[in-house]
Amino acid sequence: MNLEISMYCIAVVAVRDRIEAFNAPELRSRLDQLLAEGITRFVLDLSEVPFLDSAGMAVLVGLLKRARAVEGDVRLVWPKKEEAQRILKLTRFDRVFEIADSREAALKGF
Amino acid sequence: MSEPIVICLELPAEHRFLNIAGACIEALLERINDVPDRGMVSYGLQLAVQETCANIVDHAYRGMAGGRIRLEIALRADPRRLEIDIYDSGRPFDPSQAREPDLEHAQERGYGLFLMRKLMDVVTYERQDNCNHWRLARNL
Repeated sequence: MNLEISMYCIAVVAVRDRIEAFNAPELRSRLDQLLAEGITRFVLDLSEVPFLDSAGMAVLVGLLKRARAVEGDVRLVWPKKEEAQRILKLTRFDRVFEIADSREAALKGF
Repeated sequence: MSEPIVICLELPAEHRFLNIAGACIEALLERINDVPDRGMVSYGLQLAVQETCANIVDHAYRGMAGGRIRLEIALRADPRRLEIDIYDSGRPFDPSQAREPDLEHAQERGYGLFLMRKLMDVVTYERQDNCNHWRLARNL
């Protein structure tokens, strides 16, 4: 039997904290670790993120660039908090990233 | 005209303490009646202050230990507005290093000042007596 079996690994990372200058380096380091392990596709679930600053946004963009450089991608899940959604819209991150309403919808996109 | 309500804070210039400024602003706004769109306004003020202070930690005090950030938060009446004066004694801010982000292409830097300007009615900077002075203001 001629079979070709491919398995694709997608990391779903749910952040349940503020993402700001203080803890952005830790998040970046954890995501870099996953990239180093060979994971190229990510769903970052931001639904429980109450606050996001530009240092946090830099982590998202950094991951997107590094993932795309190895033919991967990053999908986001919208924060539930409307105020945090507004920041992603003001900076037009909603055009740069595919942002889904739920983790399941984000996974389906891959 | 009534006197402004003024709250002063002085923080160590370290990222881990910057959330204190945001928490203070949120708590103050909770005590003000009839703020239209309170959640958005509060979030915007907290984010603008966070960006200003993070910029001070990263740039003004880069490589310097023991820096302090002083904030004076003033609620003024008629017209009602929140003014936040932020002072540090680090290096001067260099506007040539603060480029507007290209929103069509995501980038890792440049959103801080952009967000401050988008979220506030007033953002000013001046260098005065070897200190940096930022003023953020938002009508309420």
